[in-house]
Amino acid sequence: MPSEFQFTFEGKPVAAREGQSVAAALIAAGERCLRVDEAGNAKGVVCGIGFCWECRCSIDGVPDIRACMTPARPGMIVRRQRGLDGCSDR
Amino acid sequence: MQRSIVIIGAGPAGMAAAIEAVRRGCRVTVIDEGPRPGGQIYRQPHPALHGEDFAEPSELARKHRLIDGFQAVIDRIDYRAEANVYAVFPNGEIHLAQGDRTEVLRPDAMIIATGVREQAIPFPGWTIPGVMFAGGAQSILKAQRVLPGRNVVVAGCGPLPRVVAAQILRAGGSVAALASLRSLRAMLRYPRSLWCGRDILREGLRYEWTVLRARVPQFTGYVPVRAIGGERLEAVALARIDAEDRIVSGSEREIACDLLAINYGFVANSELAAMTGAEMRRDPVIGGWVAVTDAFGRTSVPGVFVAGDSAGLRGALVAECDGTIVGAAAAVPSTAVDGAALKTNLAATMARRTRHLEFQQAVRATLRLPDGIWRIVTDDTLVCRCENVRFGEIREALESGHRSLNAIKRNVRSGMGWCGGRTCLHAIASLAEAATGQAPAEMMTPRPMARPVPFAAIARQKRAAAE
Amino acid sequence: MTKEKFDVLIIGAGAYGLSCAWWMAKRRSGARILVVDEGEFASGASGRNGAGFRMQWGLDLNIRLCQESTRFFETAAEQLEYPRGIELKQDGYLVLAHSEKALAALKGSLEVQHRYGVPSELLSADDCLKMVPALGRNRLVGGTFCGKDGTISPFLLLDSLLKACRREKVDVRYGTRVEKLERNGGGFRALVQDGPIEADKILLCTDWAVPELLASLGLNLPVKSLPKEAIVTVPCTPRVKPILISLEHHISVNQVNRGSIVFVVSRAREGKEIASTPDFLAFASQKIIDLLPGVADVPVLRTWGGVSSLTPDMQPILGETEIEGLYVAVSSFRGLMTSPAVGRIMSALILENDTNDPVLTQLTPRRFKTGDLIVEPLLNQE
Repeated sequence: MPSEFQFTFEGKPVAAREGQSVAAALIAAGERCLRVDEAGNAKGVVCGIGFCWECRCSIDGVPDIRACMTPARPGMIVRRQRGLDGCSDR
Repeated sequence: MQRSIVIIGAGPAGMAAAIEAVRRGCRVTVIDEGPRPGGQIYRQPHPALHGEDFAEPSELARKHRLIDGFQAVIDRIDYRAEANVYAVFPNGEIHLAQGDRTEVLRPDAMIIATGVREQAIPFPGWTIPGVMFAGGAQSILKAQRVLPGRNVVVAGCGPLPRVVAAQILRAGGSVAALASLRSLRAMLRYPRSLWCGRDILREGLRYEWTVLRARVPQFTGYVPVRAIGGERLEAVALARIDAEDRIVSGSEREIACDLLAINYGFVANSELAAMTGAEMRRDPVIGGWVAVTDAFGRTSVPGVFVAGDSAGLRGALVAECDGTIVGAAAAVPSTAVDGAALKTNLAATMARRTRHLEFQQAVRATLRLPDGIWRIVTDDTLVCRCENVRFGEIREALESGHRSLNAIKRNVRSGMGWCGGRTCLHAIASLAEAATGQAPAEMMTPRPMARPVPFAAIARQKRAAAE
Repeated sequence: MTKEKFDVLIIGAGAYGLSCAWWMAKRRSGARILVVDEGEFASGASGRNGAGFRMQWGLDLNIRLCQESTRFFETAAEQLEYPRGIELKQDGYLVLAHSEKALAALKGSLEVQHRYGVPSELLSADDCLKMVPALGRNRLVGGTFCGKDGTISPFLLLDSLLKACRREKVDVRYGTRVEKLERNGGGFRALVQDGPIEADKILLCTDWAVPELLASLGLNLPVKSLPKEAIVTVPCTPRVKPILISLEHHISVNQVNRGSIVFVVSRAREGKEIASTPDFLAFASQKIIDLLPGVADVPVLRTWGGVSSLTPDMQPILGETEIEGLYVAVSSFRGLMTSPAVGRIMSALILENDTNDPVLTQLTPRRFKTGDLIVEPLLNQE
């Protein structure tokens, strides 16, 4: 894995370093809202260690992946989840 | 026959327990959620992520001494990284998920060393992206080498918010305000405690110095009462709490920020201990419901031990001593635990543990929450974030006579969502206590799943042959 | 200690107990009615079930009880003055057959259902797969579907009944365990922790626990307890629109409005424990993947357990016991879906001695002595 690489969030390129979580890379890129819940509330990273499940997003078409617990990988496609929509269209 | 021991959690308590149990000739399995040992407090960044920790050198020395000790025996441990225990049972079974499959273990003894999580007090707007737990913000900074916010307000009680404020400053961030429910001067009432914890205190004073030198605006007696923003945090309103624990009208101060980091103490990760059927008790200052344990970490269920913070908040130094003591006790047949030999053997560790625990007196004094603090939770505050349950609904359930966490859950769905109540149930218990004068007698019925696991993985299950 | 005296004491504040109490209060205003429950709100079988109601049965009495109850659920918000509603959802029930024998039973039952005007229909295996693409083809031979069947929220039904009861001045007390029943002249005395309670009539609605209370009066009824465990998934995209039940798999599937899929599985064993059993999750997961391969990737979020009652012919017991003034209502695992009709029938029986409803003849507690057991064709698919 290259030590510095990119993935996309909502189609936009995001820079990441090897060993960083998706959440950390998104925060570094200034992204705060990772999900919009069923009631329309914007949600972001809260506990940072995996227990609150608030930073769930869609990664490579799989819904409900915790950004804070998932290492960033080159080329991964990260989407902001809306309600129950798992963004499985890739 | 070698005794088999499964240790859940590779933080200070789990690592120390593993080192001790291996030393005593046991067959040891350590299960941990993280990719590398260390737990939350001794979290290790990915080796490729170079950068600074912004922590005190003495802290880092402690961390590395223990991790090195664990690494020295790791070849003799069945070490399961990135594995989740999703259920334990009174019969001693441990069900874990790793990758796309699951496995059932049934050791002679299990040591639950699952630590604590952070406690929040909900308030209007706290779901806006940019409101984080202070320790969570710290982990982004220390383990990910990313500044969690550029202009930060840190708030809450106890030492952690102050440490996080200092570390953000050291990393080049700016701290717009540091709000503390109460002054840490409460610690001065415990001189013996401070003497016992003088090493930690010295580190704390250096963090204080960082905050002072940066001339961070400090608001003592203030708490966040409103977060402002839409898709991202824009500002936070702080308000003063008076001696009667009331919000002082007109004391509100709005402060612009892009991150609000809060911590109001800790909640024990005691769900697994409860699932074994162990007797529990509630003490909000040390983490809510915790297993009742004896000096050796034994619970009411034979073969089930709890060590470290998950048995009640006590800090990394006590947890490490706990690990050694509990690891030793789990390594011998239960009849030998009460014998004089083990006590003599562990005398030095027990003495050290007593000394470190003494310091916790002072720490706990800073974490005790006044009842009135729960007034910042307004009727339209979202309390259960997963299920979008507002406090008004919970208050109505309480008024209808639904007082237990189970009954409240059945009425309003609090605790039924993704986090399984880990973010809100402790707060709901305290809210119920503040509203009715009586805390719920029991935690929500502890059942699987402690972590979500797909059907396919549960069906692909390896069951160890009965021993 | 002051003695308390009531016209009717109902033991058990589940769907049967509260429904009977509400109907009685409506029927005779001013009646002194006390409902006691040893547990807390919704902690028994009425709060621990698959939440479904269906008119797809093979036996007249079940169809009639459920038809009447369905009509009640459709208007419960108004009838119980509960604006929040009870989360009524009528997306239908799909009853699956995985053998020709089961399919034959479904076809036979369909005829009975149609006599009562139940809008149910026969589906081929392909129709079933079209309706629920997540289903597995594996041994599936067909099923029946009724679009008027559905689900309610058990908690909201109980809460709406509780509030309606209290509005009608019914006294409902949780955490009140009756240790013993005694006869007291023409009436009864119930011993609870706070002292004796006197009542002219007693109705036992404690489901599988009914035999324990009857024993204190020297009676017995052959009611067993049937433990069930349930699995709830995380909220996910809609995959299972109608409720699914499989006669052979002993499983029901319900995707609730919030997106979670709830699987209730019963295993052939007796027990009163609601605890989770260690081997259940793997056993049930395999069964669920067999039935619905399309959910294999969905994470399980939580589990719960419940206990329902089971009678020798798997049918409810409704009526007066050999002791005058002592009544029982045992659901045999369909308490929630029959509770409105049972409440009406039992309230008429107890307050007005109205024995006209034919259901009472069939479901009498006496049938176990006379041997007049009932056969429900849809429940004999082992």
